[in-house]
Amino acid sequence: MDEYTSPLTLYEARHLLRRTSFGAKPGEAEALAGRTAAEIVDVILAAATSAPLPKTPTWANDLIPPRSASSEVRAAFAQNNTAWRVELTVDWIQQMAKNRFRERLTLFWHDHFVTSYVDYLYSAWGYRYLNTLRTNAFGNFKDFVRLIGLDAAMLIYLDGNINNGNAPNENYARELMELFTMGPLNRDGIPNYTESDVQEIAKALSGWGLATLENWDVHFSYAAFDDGNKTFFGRTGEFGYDDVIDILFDERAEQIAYFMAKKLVTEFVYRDPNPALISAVSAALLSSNFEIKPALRVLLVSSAFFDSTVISAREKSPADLCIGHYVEMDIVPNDEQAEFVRRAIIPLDQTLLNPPNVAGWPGHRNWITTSTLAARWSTSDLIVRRYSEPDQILAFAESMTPTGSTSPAIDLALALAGHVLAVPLEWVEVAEIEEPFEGDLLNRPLPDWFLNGPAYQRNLVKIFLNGLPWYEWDLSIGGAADRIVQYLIRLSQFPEYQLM
Amino acid sequence: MCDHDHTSGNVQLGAGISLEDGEKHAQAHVTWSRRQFLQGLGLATTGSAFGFGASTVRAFSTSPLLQSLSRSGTDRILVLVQLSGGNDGLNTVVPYTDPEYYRIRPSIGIPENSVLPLSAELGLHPSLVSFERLYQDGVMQVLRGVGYEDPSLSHFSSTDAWLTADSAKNIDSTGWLGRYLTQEYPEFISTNPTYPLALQLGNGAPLLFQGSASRMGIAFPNLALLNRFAADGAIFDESFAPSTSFGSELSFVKSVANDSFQFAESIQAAANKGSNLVEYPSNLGLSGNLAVTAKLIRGRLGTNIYHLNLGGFDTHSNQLNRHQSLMQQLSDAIGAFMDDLKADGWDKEVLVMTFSEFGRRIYQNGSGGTDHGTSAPLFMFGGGVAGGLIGQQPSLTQLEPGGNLSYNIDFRGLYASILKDWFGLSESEVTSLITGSFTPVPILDSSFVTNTEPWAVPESVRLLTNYPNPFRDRTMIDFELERGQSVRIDVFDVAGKNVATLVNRPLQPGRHQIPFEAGSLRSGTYFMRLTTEKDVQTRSLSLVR
Repeated sequence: MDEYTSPLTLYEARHLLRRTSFGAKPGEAEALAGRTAAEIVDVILAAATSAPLPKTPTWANDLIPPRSASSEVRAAFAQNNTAWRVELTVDWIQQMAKNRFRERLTLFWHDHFVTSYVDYLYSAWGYRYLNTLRTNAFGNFKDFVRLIGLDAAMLIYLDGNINNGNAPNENYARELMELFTMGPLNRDGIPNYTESDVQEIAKALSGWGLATLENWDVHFSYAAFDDGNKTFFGRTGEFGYDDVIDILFDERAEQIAYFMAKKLVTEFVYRDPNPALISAVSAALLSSNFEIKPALRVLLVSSAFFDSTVISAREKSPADLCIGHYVEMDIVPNDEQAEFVRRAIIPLDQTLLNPPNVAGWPGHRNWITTSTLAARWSTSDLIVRRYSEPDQILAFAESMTPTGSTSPAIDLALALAGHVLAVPLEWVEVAEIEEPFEGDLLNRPLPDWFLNGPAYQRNLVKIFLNGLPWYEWDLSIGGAADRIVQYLIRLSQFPEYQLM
Repeated sequence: MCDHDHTSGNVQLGAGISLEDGEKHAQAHVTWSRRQFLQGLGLATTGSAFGFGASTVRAFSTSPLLQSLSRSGTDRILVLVQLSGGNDGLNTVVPYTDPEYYRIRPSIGIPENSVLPLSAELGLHPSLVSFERLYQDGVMQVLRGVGYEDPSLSHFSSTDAWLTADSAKNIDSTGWLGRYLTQEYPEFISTNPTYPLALQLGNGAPLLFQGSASRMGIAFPNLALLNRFAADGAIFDESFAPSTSFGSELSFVKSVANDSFQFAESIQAAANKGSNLVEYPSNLGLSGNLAVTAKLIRGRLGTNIYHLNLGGFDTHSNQLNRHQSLMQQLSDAIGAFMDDLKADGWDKEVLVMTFSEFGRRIYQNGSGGTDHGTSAPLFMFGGGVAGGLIGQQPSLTQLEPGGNLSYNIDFRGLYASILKDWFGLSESEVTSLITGSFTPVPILDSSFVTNTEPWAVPESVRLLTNYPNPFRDRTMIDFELERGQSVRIDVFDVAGKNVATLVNRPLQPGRHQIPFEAGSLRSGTYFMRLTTEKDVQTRSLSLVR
């Protein structure tokens, strides 16, 4: 798999930002165009890994009241707990607009190492889980696997905490292999593990649990551990948790690398992943002992990633859609706006911290149904119309209008369309508007290049102008923000807008 | 009209309200924004409503007006023609014998000898030739000085159709949205209509097609899309995509989008069955839009409300020429439309109303134009209108602060009259859609007035807010019966499926509390409908796990 060494075009730079960072801010892709993928990816990887972590929430160590506490106290805690989870989610959404690449990966890992708050309940564990995802997002995958299995939220979600030596619970052992590392079959269709492996591994993983009245931490109890011999992957011994991880990665390294490479390519490139790219990413994982950064790098600088046929080939997830709006407009959502996003994506089939099941969100085409599509249009409408400020809209439009433009209406309308639509504009279906441009076109004629250019340009500008003579447009006229808002909403209702 | 004491508490103010903000302040004197107009008429709804502080978003909702209309089964039609941008009312209905008019508009005033006189004091812009004819035929009514008090928006919202989301950035805490969210009127209908109750055309309007629930209306940004929809039953061309990976995803999304559009059959059928009986000046613009509207009406689509748009009225400069062209278009289009409908009697079923989101300043500016203003005249057409001039011509010397015209007809009173007299809604329905009492506006000929119900019948059931809401496992439905009667309470999901019948028997008078256990239902919005002999009331419930 070749590295893509050409300097990136504006179109390619936007693509890279959309796939890694929820979208391109105004001017961002423009500034990156002309550089190579390798240069850009190194910079954003460095930024993602050096950005400071969000502050620990004030409530992260507030323990649940003991059983002896009154029902009022316990009810109050329950209410707080819900508020804390909301706060955690809202913060995360704001983080997504700030430390975009890191949070994009965190979201990917949330969809991979799935847990749901409905099972673990307590927000303090939710915070710890999210923090584990975030701190390991670009780290070593093997370490990540080791750590996530001992995360409290995960222990509860997949029954690790009730997996004791006397009655082993196979839930985590199975998902560890089936979903978290290598999948049931390798690339040739040969099973990666047997049922016996699952049972034996479950025994080796036993003994870990939680004791919430003292602290939120996880601990090991020898009494709950099966200390006998276990046999899996052809190895026998009095294995414990760490041994499982070591042996798994020793005996199945290739299968794990293949599975994870395929998952990364599917997520970041196209739902029908390119086999050559999978091989390259897999090789990077193996040669680096499962470091995530080099694998990601190989993926993001590959010629497969920049293949024009896969640019705009991914359906936006609800998070991509909503955060994307804000990033495109260079707005970091405030609390009210982030809270709106938190709620708005729920009927779009994505509840953060609560994927539908341990396999995560099916994603891709599943995001777009006749009900979610109408809801997406409505959500986009609200984000741009109600959950943004007119000042922000005007500042955004100003940053998108080239300085010294002699036809700002045309330049702005086309710039906005190119900025927010991932599909190449010549493939965007813009219905022909037969009504002519308004105004005194004799004395104020439209530019020749525009009149002789492709029809979609004229139709887009007509949508933007909506009857206003082109020469009357200026950011300072009455109703300017409203007109921009309306145009952005209209753009978000093109089917093309659902793709990134 | 505008109380410049902006410390008075009851109006939420937005940007541009203080006098320092100059131009924006002028805009703030929007006598009625389109959105407020539609709100007042009950057409604006929330595309997403959070109701009761719920944490679930309901992506689309219906208009209580549309629901009332669907229940009433009326065949009557209202065609709203919006003159988008702010029509200059003063040059439309001209006070041609008032010297003050010519003093303030030295170069853009309409010459006295070219107006088409309606009365000794007022005349029409010379291009409104058809309007003069319709006026003489007694089927046009001119309402003067229509306006609105307490502007609470600082910008015009040119795209708000009754099916789209609330555009107000400044939510008046006692305003429309708040009232709807706590009000009795349902967001639910028990059956999906096969035709749109409302159809909006033009103005680059948001293409909002409702999904699984509440499919009540449809909006087309422009005529080309409606024509394509009528011809193909689809909006998007799924084959217009390259045969590449992104091409196949693009086709997929378009196909889902096409599937999301309802009413294809009814619109296609009406477009095929319908026809135009006169020739229209053009098949573009307002003329084209009205031609299609007449076709759909004649084709018996069943839609009660059409909302059309003619843009370009924002005449900050070169007004004489541009306004003349617009008046010409308006006159020709409406003239043709009325003639078309009259040819086979449809004009008796249709009421046409022109409006603009605001009028313009009385003074001309330095570019031969005018800036945003306030009240303006409004026209109504139809076989059923009383005809003539209503209201008072606003004085050009006694102005509102800021140099703007006063109003004397509150547009909400106009809407209330339309709802009651034209559509035949009951008094209680009308007051729940438009709160406050307004002087009725006698638009219609008495023989066309449908509703004769004098007073609201006292409610025999009072439905209180369920609690808790949102709820996790169980919520209590709370209501009071004035007298013993049979009561039925059903709960529906957003798809209209009945998920529970809580009660279905006679109950004693007094207070009742019926629990609703959510069981294994998924999080989301549900609707509880309480039916008695005379009444149906609905509440939305919010289940959040």
